[in-house]
Formats: sequence, structure tokens, C-alpha cells
Amino acid sequence: MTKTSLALAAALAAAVGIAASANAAEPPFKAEKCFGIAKAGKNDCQTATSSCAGTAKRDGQGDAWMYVPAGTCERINGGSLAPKA
Amino acid sequence: MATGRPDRVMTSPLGAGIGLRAAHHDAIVADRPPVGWFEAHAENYMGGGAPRAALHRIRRDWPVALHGVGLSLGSADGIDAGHLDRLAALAGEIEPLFVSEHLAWSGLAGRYLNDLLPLPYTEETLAVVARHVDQVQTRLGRPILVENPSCYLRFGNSTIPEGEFLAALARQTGCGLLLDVNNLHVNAINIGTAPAAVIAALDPGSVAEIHVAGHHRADHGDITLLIDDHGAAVSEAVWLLYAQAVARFPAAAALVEWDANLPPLDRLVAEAREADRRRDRATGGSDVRAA
Amino acid sequence: MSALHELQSRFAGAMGGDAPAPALLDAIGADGVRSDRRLAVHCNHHLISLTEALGATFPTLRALVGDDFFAQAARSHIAAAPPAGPCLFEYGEGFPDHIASLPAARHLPYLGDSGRLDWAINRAYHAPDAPVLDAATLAAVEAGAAGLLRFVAHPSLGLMVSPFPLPAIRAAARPDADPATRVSLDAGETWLMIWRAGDDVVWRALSEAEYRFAAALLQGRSLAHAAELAGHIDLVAVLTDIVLSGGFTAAILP
Repeated sequence: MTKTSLALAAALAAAVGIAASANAAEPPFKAEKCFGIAKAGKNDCQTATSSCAGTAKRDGQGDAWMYVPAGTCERINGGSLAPKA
Repeated sequence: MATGRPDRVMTSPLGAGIGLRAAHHDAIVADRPPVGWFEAHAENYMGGGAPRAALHRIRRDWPVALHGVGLSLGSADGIDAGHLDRLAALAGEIEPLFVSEHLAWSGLAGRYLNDLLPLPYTEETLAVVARHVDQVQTRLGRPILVENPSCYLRFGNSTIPEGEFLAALARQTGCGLLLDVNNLHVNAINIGTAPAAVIAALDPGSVAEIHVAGHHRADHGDITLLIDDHGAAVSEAVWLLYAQAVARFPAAAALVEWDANLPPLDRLVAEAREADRRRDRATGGSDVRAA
Repeated sequence: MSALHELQSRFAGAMGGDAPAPALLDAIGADGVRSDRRLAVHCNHHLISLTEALGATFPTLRALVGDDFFAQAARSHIAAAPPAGPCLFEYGEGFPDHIASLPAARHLPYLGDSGRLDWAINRAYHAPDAPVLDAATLAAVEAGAAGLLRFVAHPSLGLMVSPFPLPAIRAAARPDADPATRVSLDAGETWLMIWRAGDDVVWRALSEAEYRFAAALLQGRSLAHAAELAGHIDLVAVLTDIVLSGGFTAAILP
């Protein structure tokens, strides 16, 4: 057995040992139990939503370039709301 | 647990059910609400993970129906065989009480439009839909239910009244029908279809399920449409149609749908109990139903 | 083309943003309400329901740019790339590229990758179910054969690399984040492994070397090969975390 395979075998055995004995309830890294409404089912059989039906105009007409990002991007350094020249 | 409609009962053995929504999964498992069954939108459970696990968990304790919203039975260029395979796989796991879909179309040429779009009621459309219902039933190895749609427009070239269209589809394919009485009411206002005419046209043995739901009224000057958003309590006008429907189709199982403005689970449970009370009043019965 | 096909073709065109064809408007019975108004119910529902679906899949993007800009970006994406199938949890893979390409968003270089993390999380959450490799199976592997092991990743497992501090950006965009939060783009690069542990989506920050190791394992390379590509890293820590939380489906010996 080479030195490398011995080292791998030891690493694997150690990992297996820890995994077998650890409490899986608390993973040691970031876990998202809820990320907003992504958990909600997205397919409905409703055929129209209250905000849009019946209006003659197509809802929210406008072009993307008439709008500017105006959300939490202001919290990101380098994400100022004004386009950089 | 019974799956499918028993042969020799006069009234449905099931208490009214409610539409299964992801926001209620945890409350349903924790509270075990007194409802007869649940109906899941099939497309929301075609992935793995938490939604699929919740569906299996709920299926252990209640009958569950799969209500498809994306098969597009009315698409002129055929239905998506891959999607049908996924529905078949899910149905194989869940052993649903019913598998249902809509008399509508939702896409064309590989573009899915995410709406239940209206069809002209012609002989051509009847042939297309009947062919697709056959295809689905053959693939699933069981009959499906087809639901009458809510409509905001009708096509001038329609030659077959809605009720006759549904009745002919059921006769030709052996499918059952899902009668949505909110859709009947909405269509009466929006496009002038007489609810009584639809109810009268359907064979009493063909309707296996009845939907009730809320709608809202959209007034914009010269335009008034009832919008089928499943976003409110069932209106009195719809309950009156429900009473007529359960009297004519006593074996059909009832289901309350709520999508927009989804309230807490108790509110839906209360609506389901109301459906049971209304049924007893309409049929003169007071059967003890599974709840 | 049959009459029905022709009608549906015109209808789909109107929903895709074309002006309704006169033949389509003529086909709709008037009934006292103008045909274009009736048609608008469907056109609006199409756009709004798909915008809502994209909003559910991309909560970070939506928070970063705000609802108005998000809705406009969604509208142009829906017109250019409508869903190919009915399962809406599968819709939106191309949206991060789209929003990042809009002129008004060019000064936010981290938008695309922030959206790609939203997508990776959505994908992991809905990925098909598969068995989970348990530690006992691995324990039975003979010591001398350990280097030959190849791992089969759980369908939910994915890797992501970005020049931006994505977890910090994501945290700052959450609705429950402190409005005073500030994230510096200088915080540096991100190497992430994302997968589903039980019902929850989890991610683990990796070092660059750990990323090389994980990428090699995902490509189906042997444990020995992956370790060699990674160089000097703590294999125990990485393997323990993945095995412990269900990131692998199987381990195969030749």
C-alpha cells in the first residue's frame, strides 16, 4: 500500500467515523430552512389575479430601461444606484 | 381506504375536501383537520424534496386527488408526452382518488403560457380533446376527470353548447367530469352561459367531483367581469348552484379551492364543513361521512 | 394548419406581446365587452403569474433591484424566453443572465451571480429524490481500496464559484436583514457547494483547493485523483460534511 492510499484510507475512516457519530441535526455550515415564498407551490389553477384582470391596457406597460434598480443593492458597496460613467 | 368512486352509493362517502397548498403542509400534518380528502396541483409535486415528502405524508392519512394544471388537453399540436410521463409516475406513487385536468389549452409549439385558455366548442376541438383524453387515460391506465373552465371570452365559431360538449367528451372517451360551480357562475356573468343548461346536459353518472371557490368582481367602467381567482369565500350565488349540483350528482365528492389571498387552514376547513352542511340540506340526507 | 391550430397560434402570439391579430379579435364574440379587453385578462395573467413565479425563485434578485425593476426585467425575459413546460419551479434558469445584461443593471456586476445562487438553491430544493449514502456503507470499504472510490453526487448537489461574496450579498438582501447592513465587494471570491440535506437547502463555503477536490469528485474522478488535484487540504472535514448531510447517493468501487 502506498503512502497516498494509506493517507486516503485514514481520511476516509476518520470522516466515516465522525459522520457515523455526529448529530446531523445541526450541520456545521449555512442551512436555509426558509427562503421566502420559493417554498410555495408555483402552479395554480386560478385563471387570473386580482391585480390585473379586466384592464384594457396590458398591465405595467413600460420598458426595462425606463426603470432603475432600487432595492437593497444600495447595501452593497459598489452597487450605487447611479450608473457608473 | 376507498380509491375511486364506489359503484353503489347514492351520496358521496367522503366529506368535502380542500385544495392542498404548500403553505398548509405543516399545519395539516400537525392538526389533522377534519376534512374528507385533499386535492394537489400535480405540477407542484413533480420535483423531489419537501413538497413530494409532504404529499406522501398526507397521503398516508387521507385520499389525495391529483389536479393537473398543465397538460393542455386542448392544444392543437398535441400534448407533451414527457409531462404525461411525469404525471403517470406521480400517479403511480400516490394512487390518487382522482386524476383531473381542464377543458382548456395552455401552450403551443413548446411554449407554456401558464394559463387555462379558452377553446372554441367545435367538432374539430371535440376531436382534438377526445384524442388527448384517450392518450392520457391509456398512459395512466385509468379514467380521468375533465373540468369545465372559467372563461372571460367565447369564440364566435363555437357550435356546441358547453354542457353538450362536456357530455359528448365523457361519452366518447369514458372520462368523468369535474363540475366547478364557481366557473358556472363566472361564465354566466362573463359570457352568458346558463348554468342550469350545463347541469342539465350532463349525465348524472358522469360527474365524480364538484369544485366550489370564490371569485371577485372587476368593474372598470364599461367592463364587468367575474375573475376566478379562488381568492375569497364562496359566494351565496355559487352555493345555490352547488345545491343544485349535489342534488343532481349526489355521488360526486366536493372540494373547496382557495389560491389567492390564502387564509389559514381553519378557514378552509370551515368552508369544507359548510359544503357538507349545504349538501345535507340539498339532498335531505345527513349521512355520516368520513372526516 | 387546422383552424384550431391557427387560432391558438394567434392567441399565443398575443400573449407573447404581439398586437392581437384582427382575425383573433374577430373570432372572439363581442358580448358587450370589447374583445381586446377580454383578451387582456389572459395577457395580464400570463405576465403577472410568471413574474410572480420568477419572484419566488429569485428572492435575492428581487430584493436587490426592487419590485418595479424586477417586474420589468421579468416581463422582457418572459417575452424572450417563456417557460418550456408546465412545472414552474423549473422556469428561470436564463433569468440571471438576462437581468445582468440589461443596460440599467450593468453597474451591478454581482447581479448575475446573485441570481445564479438563487437558481442553485431553487434547483437543489426541487431536485429529484435519490438514496443517501450512509456512513456505514463507506465504513465497509477496505482501507487499501479507499483511493479507488468514486462518489455519485445526490441530484441536488451543485458547485458555484463567483468573484463576489455571494452569501453576504444574499444575507443583506433578506427581508429580515438589518437595513444598516453593508457588504463590501472587496470581501472577495466565493466557492460554494450547495445541496439538500433532508428538506432544507444547505451550502458550505469551500476554499479554492476544496472546490477543486469537490469538482473532481462530482466529475466522477476517484478519491485518490481528486485528492491529488486538490493538493494539501483537510479531506476529513470536506468528506465528513458532505457524507453527514446527504450530499452523496452512492460510492462505487471499480
